[in-house]
Formats: sequence, C-alpha cells, structure tokens
Amino acid sequence: MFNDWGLSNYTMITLVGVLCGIACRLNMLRTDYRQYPTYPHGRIIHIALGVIASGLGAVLVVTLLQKNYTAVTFLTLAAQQFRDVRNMERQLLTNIDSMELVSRGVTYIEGIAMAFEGRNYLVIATAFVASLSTYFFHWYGGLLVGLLMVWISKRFMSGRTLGEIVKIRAAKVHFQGPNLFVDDILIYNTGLRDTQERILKNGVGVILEPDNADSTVTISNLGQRQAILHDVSTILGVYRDSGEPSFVPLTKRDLNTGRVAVFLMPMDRDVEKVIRIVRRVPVLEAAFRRPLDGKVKPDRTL
Amino acid sequence: MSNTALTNCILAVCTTERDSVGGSGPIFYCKDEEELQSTSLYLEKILDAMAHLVRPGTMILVKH
Repeated sequence: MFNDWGLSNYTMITLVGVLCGIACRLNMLRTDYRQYPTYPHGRIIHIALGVIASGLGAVLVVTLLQKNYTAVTFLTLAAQQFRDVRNMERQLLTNIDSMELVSRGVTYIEGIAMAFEGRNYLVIATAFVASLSTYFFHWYGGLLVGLLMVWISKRFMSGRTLGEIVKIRAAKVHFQGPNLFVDDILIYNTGLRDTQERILKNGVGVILEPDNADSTVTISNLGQRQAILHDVSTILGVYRDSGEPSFVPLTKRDLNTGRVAVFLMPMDRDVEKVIRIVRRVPVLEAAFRRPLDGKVKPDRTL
Repeated sequence: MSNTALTNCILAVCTTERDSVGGSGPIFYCKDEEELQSTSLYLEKILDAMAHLVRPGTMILVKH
C-alpha cells in the first residue's frame, strides 16, 4: 500500500525507525506527582532529544545498508552529546535542590540523570532494531518489532521499590524526658516544651526492618534514606519552614539490628498512607548493594 | 571524604543555675523553668538553631 505513495525503501526504513523511537520515548516519559520532567519546557527538551536519538538509530541502518561504514563513528559523537546533556540535567537538579524544603539528595539526582541518559540510548536501540526489521520484514514486521522493543524498554527501565526489600510498619513517636524516640530508636534531643507538644501532635514514625544483609546495606545508605523523606514530604506535605531545624524530617539507624527509623511531620497525618508511600519509594540504583552475591559473604544474617 | 568544615557549634547557653556553666560564649541566666523555656524558644527562632536539654535546668543552642 505504501509503495503506491512512491515511498522508497530507505524512506520507509527511516520512517518506521523514527516513529518507533519516538513512541518508545513517549512511553517512558511521564510527569507524575514528582513533576519531573518539569512542565512544559522540561518535557519539550526530553521529547526533542528523544526525536534526535531515534533519528540517529534509524539513519544508522540506512548508512550501513549503503555500505558507508565509517558513519558509525558519529555514534561516538552522539554518546558524548548525551553525556553532556546528562551533566546539564544533573546541574539543573542540583541547583534547584537547594531551594527545596526537603531536598532530593545527590544520590537521587544522580539516579535521575543516569536514567535520562539511559533512556536516550534505549531510544537509539529501539529505532535501530525497528529500522533493521523493516528492511527484512517490510513495514508491518518493522512496526511489530518496534512495538515489542517499546514494551521491553519500559520493562527494562522500571526498577525495584522499597516494599520488595524491607518490611515497613508504624511506630510510636514518644519522648523520654527531652529525648525523642521512634519506638526504641533515639532520634534527637529537644528541650523546648513547645517543640515537644508540636511533635507529639504532628509527628509520624515508621520503622523499616530489613530482610537480609542485602537490604540492610541498601537502606543504610544516606542517599536512599533522603529519597524516602523527599518522596513522602512531596506527597503528604511537610510541617516545617526554612530555618526550623527542629522539624526537619530525619532517619536514624539502629546500630545493633540495622533497622532504620523514619521520623517526619507530614501535613496529612495518616500513618497508613505514609507506609504505602514508603513501600513505593524506588530503590536508588546507586544505593542498591548485594553483599550476599559476593564470593566472600558476610556471616551475619542481617 | 566527609565535610571538614566546622559544623554543629554551640551558639548560646541558657541556664537556671548561675555557677554550672563557664566559657566565653553567651550565657543567659534565667530565674526559673518558665523563663528558661521562653528565652530558649526566642533564641531558637532567632538564630535558626536547635535547643537541646543537656542537664535539668541547662539548655544549649546548637547550629546544625
């Protein structure tokens, strides 16, 4: 059918590749409650880079078919460009992080920047594979393989969540004299009666219990803990303002058992919601560790 | 390498006991518990610090 439109073979290959690449990028792009990428200009930047990446992947097939093998070197140029864009993205996020009430933390930002670069490479791969399939199997085969790649990319880019590696339960926020405890884990010391009353009224405590040595090391990571605080504060709001160190959300670790206590003061005081949100916090790529997979394993169970 | 700059310093001390604290930092002597609480509260808000109770009757204001 498309041959009646006078579309040459190469045009068909490029078109299917570019379309599948763009579809892949749009599928992985969502501006959710975290408002990343920011709307509207952030989204435009992401989509534009996705279009460029899919163009690269599709045109690569055509140049190889024309036996222009040296054109592969422009891929190294593309890799450098995407690395620069990743640095730019990291810089942007770090700059605005200092103005947040509960910051994201460097680990979270690094993860976002890495995911951004990774997604562009996946788009190149999708466009390349779709174009190649169009060459062998006509446009319907190419489209089918392209859609399969879109689905694989989506699966590939979704990581694990905290609920899969730790048990999360509600805990009691209480004072013993001036010391604030979440169950039996000490958070900090505050002498002011005013602060103590506010904490008892608005404070919420949650304890994360690791399943094994892998989870213990992962949740002890400061970047991972900061990501938990940031995600919960973004959704439920936080009862603090700039320059109030008494109300800053904190996580503290129990050194004997590896449990982590999370103390925060959300505007929406529903412990069940806090637990559900913490369960869905992503495990940061840079924080995830698996000591039990090593050749020399730790003796302890936790 | 962790941050080597000076962090967490004591900005001021409030106490109800005259002879219990010494040093060159600002020390606020308060008459009773009520005054201790109100003085520390004001100082906490003004200095953006945090008030900790180290002994019954002595509060330190720390910049975190």
